[in-house]
Amino acid sequence: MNFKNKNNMKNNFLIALAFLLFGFATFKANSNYTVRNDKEYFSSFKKNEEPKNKKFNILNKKSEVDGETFYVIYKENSLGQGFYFKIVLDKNEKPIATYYANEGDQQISNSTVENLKKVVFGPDKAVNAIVETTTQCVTKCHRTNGCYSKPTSTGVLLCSAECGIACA
Amino acid sequence: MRKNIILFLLFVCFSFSVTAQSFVVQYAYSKHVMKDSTKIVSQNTFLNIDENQSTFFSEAPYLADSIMTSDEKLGKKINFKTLPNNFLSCHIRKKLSSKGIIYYSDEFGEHEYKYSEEPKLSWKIGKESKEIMGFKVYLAKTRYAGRNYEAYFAPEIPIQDGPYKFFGLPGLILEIFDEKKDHHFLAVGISHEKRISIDALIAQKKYIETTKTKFVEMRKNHIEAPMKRMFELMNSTQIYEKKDANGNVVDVRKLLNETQRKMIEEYKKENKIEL
Repeated sequence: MNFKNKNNMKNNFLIALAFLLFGFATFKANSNYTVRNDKEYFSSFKKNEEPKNKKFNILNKKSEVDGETFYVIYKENSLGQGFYFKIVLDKNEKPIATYYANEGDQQISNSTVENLKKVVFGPDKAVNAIVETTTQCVTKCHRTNGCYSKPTSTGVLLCSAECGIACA
Repeated sequence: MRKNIILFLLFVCFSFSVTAQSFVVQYAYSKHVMKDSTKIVSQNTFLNIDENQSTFFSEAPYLADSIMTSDEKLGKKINFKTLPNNFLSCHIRKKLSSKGIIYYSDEFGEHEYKYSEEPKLSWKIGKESKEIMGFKVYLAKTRYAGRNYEAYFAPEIPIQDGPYKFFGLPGLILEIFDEKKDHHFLAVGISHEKRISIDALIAQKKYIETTKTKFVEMRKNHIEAPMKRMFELMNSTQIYEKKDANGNVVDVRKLLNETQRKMIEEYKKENKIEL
Protein backbone atom coordinates (compact mmCIF):
# COMPACT_ATOMS: atom_id res chain seq x y z
CA MET A 1 0.00 0.00 0.00
CA ASN A 2 2.76 2.33 0.91
CA PHE A 3 4.64 1.29 -2.17
CA LYS A 4 1.53 1.98 -4.37
CA ASN A 5 1.03 5.40 -2.78
CA LYS A 6 4.64 6.28 -3.35
CA ASN A 7 4.30 5.33 -7.04
CA ASN A 8 1.14 7.41 -7.39
CA MET A 9 2.80 10.37 -5.79
CA LYS A 10 5.77 10.00 -8.09
CA ASN A 11 3.49 9.87 -11.15
CA ASN A 12 1.51 12.90 -9.99
CA PHE A 13 4.71 14.79 -9.42
CA LEU A 14 6.00 13.92 -12.92
CA ILE A 15 2.67 14.91 -14.52
CA ALA A 16 2.68 18.19 -12.61
CA LEU A 17 6.25 18.82 -13.68
CA ALA A 18 5.37 18.06 -17.33
CA PHE A 19 2.43 20.53 -17.14
CA LEU A 20 4.67 23.14 -15.58
CA LEU A 21 7.30 22.71 -18.30
CA PHE A 22 4.64 22.84 -21.01
CA GLY A 23 3.10 25.92 -19.43
CA PHE A 24 6.46 27.61 -19.15
CA ALA A 25 7.35 26.78 -22.78
CA THR A 26 3.97 28.10 -24.00
CA PHE A 27 4.36 31.27 -21.90
CA LYS A 28 7.90 31.83 -23.26
CA ALA A 29 6.76 31.27 -26.83
CA ASN A 30 3.87 33.73 -26.42
CA SER A 31 5.94 36.26 -24.55
CA ASN A 32 8.64 36.06 -27.25
CA TYR A 33 6.02 37.04 -29.80
CA THR A 34 4.33 39.77 -27.81
CA VAL A 35 7.48 41.55 -26.67
CA ARG A 36 9.30 41.49 -30.02
CA ASN A 37 11.11 44.77 -30.27
CA ASP A 38 9.98 46.06 -33.66
CA LYS A 39 12.48 48.90 -33.64
CA GLU A 40 15.32 46.44 -33.23
CA TYR A 41 13.78 43.82 -35.50
CA PHE A 42 13.30 46.26 -38.37
CA SER A 43 16.65 47.99 -37.90
CA SER A 44 17.69 46.02 -40.96
CA PHE A 45 15.50 45.49 -44.03
CA LYS A 46 12.84 42.79 -43.64
CA LYS A 47 11.17 41.41 -46.73
CA ASN A 48 7.37 41.18 -46.81
CA GLU A 49 7.11 41.78 -43.06
CA GLU A 50 5.80 44.89 -41.38
CA PRO A 51 5.20 46.00 -37.81
CA LYS A 52 1.72 45.30 -36.53
CA ASN A 53 -0.74 48.12 -35.84
CA LYS A 54 1.21 50.71 -37.81
CA LYS A 55 -0.56 52.94 -40.25
CA PHE A 56 1.64 53.62 -43.28
CA ASN A 57 1.21 56.87 -45.19
CA ILE A 58 2.32 57.61 -48.75
CA LEU A 59 5.60 59.46 -49.05
CA ASN A 60 6.13 58.92 -52.75
CA LYS A 61 4.30 56.91 -55.41
CA LYS A 62 5.56 56.49 -58.96
CA SER A 63 3.09 53.97 -60.30
CA GLU A 64 -0.44 52.72 -59.71
CA VAL A 65 0.68 49.16 -60.43
CA ASP A 66 0.24 46.75 -57.51
CA GLY A 67 3.53 45.93 -55.83
CA GLU A 68 4.90 42.41 -55.82
CA THR A 69 7.07 42.63 -52.72
CA PHE A 70 7.97 45.13 -50.07
CA TYR A 71 10.74 45.84 -47.61
CA VAL A 72 10.46 47.57 -44.24
CA ILE A 73 13.19 49.30 -42.27
CA TYR A 74 13.21 51.40 -39.09
CA LYS A 75 15.36 54.54 -38.85
CA GLU A 76 15.78 57.24 -36.24
CA ASN A 77 17.00 60.78 -36.70
CA SER A 78 19.27 62.53 -34.22
CA LEU A 79 16.25 64.02 -32.45
CA GLY A 80 15.23 60.48 -31.55
CA GLN A 81 12.19 60.49 -33.84
CA GLY A 82 11.73 57.04 -35.28
CA PHE A 83 10.15 56.14 -38.61
CA TYR A 84 9.33 52.92 -40.39
CA PHE A 85 9.85 53.08 -44.15
CA LYS A 86 8.10 50.64 -46.42
CA ILE A 87 9.43 50.38 -49.97
CA VAL A 88 7.17 48.60 -52.44
CA LEU A 89 8.75 46.98 -55.49
CA ASP A 90 7.22 45.93 -58.78
CA LYS A 91 7.81 42.57 -60.46
CA ASN A 92 11.09 43.87 -61.89
CA GLU A 93 12.29 44.70 -58.37
CA LYS A 94 12.08 48.44 -59.07
CA PRO A 95 10.76 50.68 -56.26
CA ILE A 96 7.33 52.05 -57.14
CA ALA A 97 6.20 53.53 -53.83
CA THR A 98 7.54 54.53 -50.45
CA TYR A 99 5.42 54.74 -47.30
CA TYR A 100 6.25 55.89 -43.80
CA ALA A 101 4.85 55.34 -40.34
CA ASN A 102 6.10 57.00 -37.20
CA GLU A 103 6.92 55.20 -34.02
CA GLY A 104 4.18 56.67 -31.87
CA ASP A 105 1.49 56.89 -34.57
CA GLN A 106 1.17 60.58 -33.81
CA GLN A 107 0.31 63.22 -36.37
CA ILE A 108 3.42 64.24 -38.35
CA SER A 109 3.76 67.84 -39.47
CA ASN A 110 3.97 68.70 -43.16
CA SER A 111 7.50 70.05 -42.70
CA THR A 112 8.62 66.71 -41.19
CA VAL A 113 7.12 64.89 -44.17
CA GLU A 114 8.94 67.28 -46.53
CA ASN A 115 12.17 66.63 -44.62
CA LEU A 116 11.64 62.88 -44.91
CA LYS A 117 11.16 63.26 -48.65
CA LYS A 118 14.40 65.19 -48.88
CA VAL A 119 16.26 62.60 -46.82
CA VAL A 120 14.89 59.73 -48.89
CA PHE A 121 14.77 61.25 -52.36
CA GLY A 122 17.11 64.28 -52.27
CA PRO A 123 16.15 67.93 -52.50
CA ASP A 124 14.55 67.96 -55.93
CA LYS A 125 14.46 65.88 -59.00
CA ALA A 126 17.43 67.22 -60.93
CA VAL A 127 17.60 65.74 -64.36
CA ASN A 128 21.19 66.09 -65.47
CA ALA A 129 24.23 68.31 -65.24
CA ILE A 130 24.67 69.10 -68.91
CA VAL A 131 22.76 71.86 -70.61
CA GLU A 132 23.41 72.33 -74.26
CA THR A 133 23.54 76.06 -74.84
CA THR A 134 25.15 77.83 -77.75
CA THR A 135 26.59 80.43 -75.37
CA GLN A 136 28.48 77.94 -73.22
CA CYS A 137 29.50 75.88 -76.25
CA VAL A 138 30.95 78.91 -78.06
CA THR A 139 32.71 80.17 -74.93
CA LYS A 140 34.32 76.79 -74.20
CA CYS A 141 35.32 76.36 -77.82
CA HIS A 142 36.89 79.85 -77.94
CA ARG A 143 38.84 79.13 -74.75
CA THR A 144 39.99 75.65 -75.65
CA ASN A 145 41.10 76.60 -79.15
CA GLY A 146 42.69 79.80 -77.84
CA CYS A 147 40.80 81.85 -80.42
CA TYR A 148 41.55 85.20 -78.76
CA SER A 149 45.25 84.37 -78.53
CA LYS A 150 45.69 83.96 -82.29
CA PRO A 151 48.36 86.38 -83.54
CA THR A 152 46.25 87.94 -86.29
CA SER A 153 42.72 89.29 -86.56
CA THR A 154 42.10 86.84 -89.40
CA GLY A 155 43.19 83.98 -87.12
CA VAL A 156 40.82 85.12 -84.37
CA LEU A 157 37.88 85.43 -86.75
CA LEU A 158 38.45 82.09 -88.50
CA CYS A 159 38.91 80.33 -85.17
CA SER A 160 35.66 81.84 -83.91
CA ALA A 161 33.89 80.87 -87.13
CA GLU A 162 35.06 77.27 -86.56
CA CYS A 163 33.47 77.42 -83.12
CA GLY A 164 30.28 78.80 -84.65
CA ILE A 165 30.18 75.77 -86.95
CA ALA A 166 30.98 73.34 -84.10
CA CYS A 167 28.19 74.81 -81.93
CA ALA A 168 25.56 75.27 -84.67
CA MET B 1 30.02 82.95 -12.68
CA ARG B 2 33.18 80.84 -12.69
CA LYS B 3 31.26 78.03 -14.37
CA ASN B 4 30.07 80.43 -17.07
CA ILE B 5 33.60 81.64 -17.72
CA ILE B 6 34.82 78.05 -18.07
CA LEU B 7 31.96 77.26 -20.47
CA PHE B 8 32.73 80.36 -22.50
CA LEU B 9 36.41 79.46 -22.71
CA LEU B 10 35.53 75.93 -23.77
CA PHE B 11 33.28 77.31 -26.51
CA VAL B 12 36.03 79.66 -27.70
CA CYS B 13 38.57 76.80 -27.71
CA PHE B 14 36.14 74.61 -29.64
CA SER B 15 35.46 77.38 -32.14
CA PHE B 16 39.17 77.90 -32.72
CA SER B 17 39.80 74.19 -33.08
CA VAL B 18 37.16 74.03 -35.81
CA THR B 19 38.12 77.21 -37.61
CA ALA B 20 41.80 76.34 -37.56
CA GLN B 21 41.09 73.24 -39.57
CA SER B 22 40.80 73.11 -43.33
CA PHE B 23 37.86 71.30 -44.70
CA VAL B 24 35.60 70.99 -47.67
CA VAL B 25 31.84 71.19 -47.82
CA GLN B 26 30.20 69.70 -50.87
CA TYR B 27 26.90 71.26 -51.92
CA ALA B 28 24.49 69.97 -54.52
CA TYR B 29 23.51 73.07 -56.46
CA SER B 30 20.28 72.79 -58.39
CA LYS B 31 18.52 75.43 -60.44
CA HIS B 32 15.75 75.83 -62.93
CA VAL B 33 17.50 75.56 -66.25
CA MET B 34 15.83 78.70 -67.65
CA LYS B 35 13.74 81.50 -66.19
CA ASP B 36 10.29 79.98 -66.82
CA SER B 37 11.30 76.36 -67.06
CA THR B 38 10.26 73.59 -64.70
CA LYS B 39 13.30 71.51 -65.65
CA ILE B 40 15.86 71.39 -62.87
CA VAL B 41 19.55 70.77 -63.42
CA SER B 42 22.08 70.01 -60.75
CA GLN B 43 25.82 69.93 -60.25
CA ASN B 44 28.37 69.58 -57.47
CA THR B 45 29.88 72.68 -55.95
CA PHE B 46 32.52 72.93 -53.24
CA LEU B 47 33.32 75.28 -50.40
CA ASN B 48 36.99 74.92 -49.49
CA ILE B 49 37.48 76.46 -46.06
CA ASP B 50 41.00 77.41 -44.93
CA GLU B 51 41.56 79.27 -41.66
CA ASN B 52 40.13 82.69 -42.38
CA GLN B 53 39.21 82.43 -46.04
CA SER B 54 37.20 80.17 -48.28
CA THR B 55 36.69 79.51 -51.95
CA PHE B 56 33.43 78.44 -53.52
CA PHE B 57 33.38 76.91 -56.98
CA SER B 58 31.70 74.45 -59.31
CA GLU B 59 33.26 71.15 -60.31
CA ALA B 60 32.14 71.68 -63.92
CA PRO B 61 35.39 73.31 -65.18
CA TYR B 62 37.35 70.31 -63.83
CA LEU B 63 35.02 67.80 -65.41
CA ALA B 64 35.16 69.68 -68.70
CA ASP B 65 38.98 69.78 -68.56
CA SER B 66 39.29 66.07 -67.84
CA ILE B 67 36.82 65.18 -70.61
CA MET B 68 38.76 67.36 -73.09
CA THR B 69 42.11 65.88 -72.01
CA SER B 70 40.74 62.37 -72.39
CA ASP B 71 39.25 63.16 -75.83
CA GLU B 72 42.57 64.63 -76.97
CA LYS B 73 44.48 61.56 -75.77
CA LEU B 74 42.10 59.31 -77.65
CA GLY B 75 42.31 61.53 -80.73
CA LYS B 76 38.58 62.20 -80.51
CA LYS B 77 37.05 65.46 -81.67
CA ILE B 78 35.91 67.48 -78.66
CA ASN B 79 32.14 67.89 -78.53
CA PHE B 80 31.83 71.33 -76.94
CA LYS B 81 28.04 71.03 -76.78
CA THR B 82 28.10 68.22 -74.25
CA LEU B 83 30.78 69.54 -71.88
CA PRO B 84 29.53 70.35 -68.35
CA ASN B 85 28.70 74.02 -67.81
CA ASN B 86 29.56 76.07 -64.78
CA PHE B 87 25.99 76.98 -63.77
CA LEU B 88 27.21 79.79 -61.53
CA SER B 89 29.62 81.24 -64.13
CA CYS B 90 31.95 82.34 -61.34
CA HIS B 91 34.16 81.41 -58.40
CA ILE B 92 33.82 83.20 -55.06
CA ARG B 93 36.55 83.86 -52.52
CA LYS B 94 35.58 85.09 -49.07
CA LYS B 95 37.65 86.73 -46.39
CA LEU B 96 35.51 86.19 -43.34
CA SER B 97 37.40 88.58 -41.07
CA SER B 98 36.74 91.52 -43.40
CA LYS B 99 33.26 90.28 -44.42
CA GLY B 100 34.29 90.78 -48.02
CA ILE B 101 34.16 88.61 -51.08
CA ILE B 102 35.96 88.58 -54.40
CA TYR B 103 33.94 87.52 -57.43
CA TYR B 104 35.88 85.88 -60.27
CA SER B 105 33.87 85.60 -63.49
CA ASP B 106 33.95 82.37 -65.46
CA GLU B 107 31.70 83.00 -68.43
CA PHE B 108 33.40 84.99 -71.15
CA GLY B 109 35.74 84.01 -73.93
CA GLU B 110 38.20 86.86 -74.25
CA HIS B 111 38.56 88.34 -70.76
CA GLU B 112 37.49 87.38 -67.28
CA TYR B 113 36.81 89.91 -64.52
CA LYS B 114 37.06 90.16 -60.76
CA TYR B 115 35.42 92.55 -58.37
CA SER B 116 35.27 93.01 -54.59
CA GLU B 117 32.02 93.26 -52.69
CA GLU B 118 30.81 93.44 -49.13
CA PRO B 119 27.36 91.88 -49.36
CA LYS B 120 24.91 93.39 -46.90
CA LEU B 121 23.15 90.33 -45.60
CA SER B 122 20.65 91.12 -42.90
CA TRP B 123 19.61 87.81 -41.36
CA LYS B 124 16.44 87.11 -39.40
CA ILE B 125 16.84 83.94 -37.37
CA GLY B 126 13.69 81.89 -36.82
CA LYS B 127 12.76 79.11 -34.44
CA GLU B 128 12.12 76.42 -37.03
CA SER B 129 14.66 73.63 -37.11
CA LYS B 130 15.32 70.40 -38.91
CA GLU B 131 18.19 68.08 -39.58
CA ILE B 132 20.72 67.98 -42.39
CA MET B 133 23.44 65.32 -42.48
CA GLY B 134 22.87 64.62 -38.79
CA PHE B 135 23.32 68.28 -37.77
CA LYS B 136 20.51 70.23 -36.21
CA VAL B 137 19.98 73.29 -38.38
CA TYR B 138 17.96 76.44 -37.78
CA LEU B 139 16.06 78.61 -40.21
CA ALA B 140 17.23 82.13 -41.07
CA LYS B 141 15.94 84.46 -43.75
CA THR B 142 17.54 87.20 -45.77
CA ARG B 143 17.21 89.11 -49.00
CA TYR B 144 20.00 89.48 -51.51
CA ALA B 145 20.23 90.68 -55.11
CA GLY B 146 16.47 90.71 -55.72
CA ARG B 147 15.63 87.37 -54.15
CA ASN B 148 14.28 86.28 -50.73
CA TYR B 149 16.25 83.41 -49.28
CA GLU B 150 15.66 80.80 -46.61
CA ALA B 151 18.80 79.32 -45.12
CA TYR B 152 19.43 76.55 -42.60
CA PHE B 153 22.59 76.86 -40.53
CA ALA B 154 24.28 74.50 -38.07
CA PRO B 155 25.45 76.14 -34.81
CA GLU B 156 27.36 72.89 -34.16
CA ILE B 157 29.76 73.98 -36.91
CA PRO B 158 30.76 77.47 -35.72
CA ILE B 159 31.93 78.82 -39.07
CA GLN B 160 30.14 81.85 -40.45
CA ASP B 161 30.32 80.71 -44.05
CA GLY B 162 28.13 79.19 -46.73
CA PRO B 163 27.75 78.60 -50.45
CA TYR B 164 28.04 81.34 -53.10
CA LYS B 165 28.24 84.79 -51.46
CA PHE B 166 26.27 83.79 -48.35
CA PHE B 167 27.79 84.05 -44.89
CA GLY B 168 27.29 85.75 -41.53
CA LEU B 169 25.18 83.27 -39.57
CA PRO B 170 26.32 81.79 -36.23
CA GLY B 171 27.07 78.45 -37.89
CA LEU B 172 27.80 76.99 -41.29
CA ILE B 173 24.97 77.32 -43.81
CA LEU B 174 24.05 73.79 -44.90
CA GLU B 175 21.09 74.70 -47.07
CA ILE B 176 19.90 77.85 -48.77
CA PHE B 177 17.31 78.48 -51.44
CA ASP B 178 15.27 81.36 -52.76
CA GLU B 179 11.51 81.45 -52.25
CA LYS B 180 10.83 80.35 -55.84
CA LYS B 181 13.40 77.56 -55.52
CA ASP B 182 15.05 78.89 -58.66
CA HIS B 183 18.38 78.28 -56.94
CA HIS B 184 19.04 75.71 -54.24
CA PHE B 185 22.24 74.76 -52.43
CA LEU B 186 22.18 71.70 -50.16
CA ALA B 187 25.18 70.35 -48.27
CA VAL B 188 25.67 66.69 -49.09
CA GLY B 189 29.09 66.05 -47.57
CA ILE B 190 31.80 67.42 -45.32
CA SER B 191 35.37 66.21 -45.56
CA HIS B 192 38.86 67.10 -44.40
CA GLU B 193 40.26 65.86 -47.68
CA LYS B 194 40.57 68.54 -50.34
CA ARG B 195 39.90 66.72 -53.57
CA ILE B 196 39.99 69.71 -55.88
CA SER B 197 40.97 73.33 -55.51
CA ILE B 198 40.40 76.38 -57.65
CA ASP B 199 43.38 78.32 -56.27
CA ALA B 200 45.84 77.37 -59.04
CA LEU B 201 43.29 78.21 -61.72
CA ILE B 202 42.61 81.62 -60.20
CA ALA B 203 46.35 82.30 -59.83
CA GLN B 204 47.23 81.48 -63.43
CA LYS B 205 44.36 83.36 -65.05
CA LYS B 206 44.50 87.08 -65.68
CA TYR B 207 41.42 88.82 -64.38
CA ILE B 208 40.55 92.39 -65.21
CA GLU B 209 39.84 94.18 -61.95
CA THR B 210 36.60 96.13 -61.94
CA THR B 211 33.72 97.13 -59.69
CA LYS B 212 30.45 95.28 -59.40
CA THR B 213 28.57 98.19 -60.99
CA LYS B 214 30.92 98.27 -63.98
CA PHE B 215 30.83 94.48 -64.26
CA VAL B 216 27.02 94.46 -64.36
CA GLU B 217 27.06 97.22 -66.99
CA MET B 218 29.70 95.43 -69.07
CA ARG B 219 27.75 92.18 -68.92
CA LYS B 220 24.56 93.97 -69.93
CA ASN B 221 26.30 95.29 -73.04
CA HIS B 222 27.83 91.89 -73.76
CA ILE B 223 24.54 89.99 -73.70
CA GLU B 224 22.99 92.49 -76.13
CA ALA B 225 25.66 91.75 -78.75
CA PRO B 226 27.81 88.77 -77.68
CA MET B 227 29.49 88.41 -81.10
CA LYS B 228 30.15 92.14 -81.53
CA ARG B 229 33.93 91.68 -81.56
CA MET B 230 33.70 89.03 -84.32
CA PHE B 231 31.52 91.27 -86.50
CA GLU B 232 34.11 94.03 -86.11
CA LEU B 233 36.89 91.63 -87.11
CA MET B 234 34.90 90.39 -90.08
CA ASN B 235 34.43 93.94 -91.34
CA SER B 236 38.04 94.96 -90.73
CA THR B 237 39.51 91.82 -92.38
CA GLN B 238 36.76 91.69 -95.00
CA ILE B 239 36.59 87.92 -94.69
CA TYR B 240 33.01 86.93 -95.40
CA GLU B 241 33.47 83.32 -96.41
CA LYS B 242 35.20 80.28 -94.99
CA LYS B 243 35.43 76.63 -95.96
CA ASP B 244 34.25 74.05 -93.40
CA ALA B 245 35.84 70.61 -92.78
CA ASN B 246 33.97 69.14 -95.75
CA GLY B 247 35.13 71.85 -98.11
CA ASN B 248 31.74 73.58 -98.23
CA VAL B 249 31.75 77.37 -98.34
CA VAL B 250 30.23 78.91 -95.21
CA ASP B 251 28.82 82.44 -95.14
CA VAL B 252 30.61 83.95 -92.10
CA ARG B 253 28.15 86.83 -91.70
CA LYS B 254 25.23 84.41 -91.70
CA LEU B 255 27.04 82.10 -89.27
CA LEU B 256 27.85 84.96 -86.84
CA ASN B 257 24.29 86.30 -87.10
CA GLU B 258 22.80 82.88 -86.33
CA THR B 259 25.21 82.23 -83.43
CA GLN B 260 24.52 85.67 -81.95
CA ARG B 261 20.75 85.26 -82.34
CA LYS B 262 20.81 81.99 -80.39
CA MET B 263 23.03 83.47 -77.69
CA ILE B 264 20.79 86.51 -77.22
CA GLU B 265 17.74 84.22 -76.93
CA GLU B 266 19.51 82.18 -74.27
CA TYR B 267 20.56 85.28 -72.34
CA LYS B 268 16.95 86.54 -72.35
CA LYS B 269 15.74 83.31 -70.74
CA GLU B 270 18.68 82.77 -68.38
CA ASN B 271 17.90 82.05 -64.73
CA LYS B 272 20.42 84.35 -63.09
CA ILE B 273 21.03 84.02 -59.38
CA GLU B 274 21.34 87.80 -59.05
CA LEU B 275 18.45 89.79 -60.49
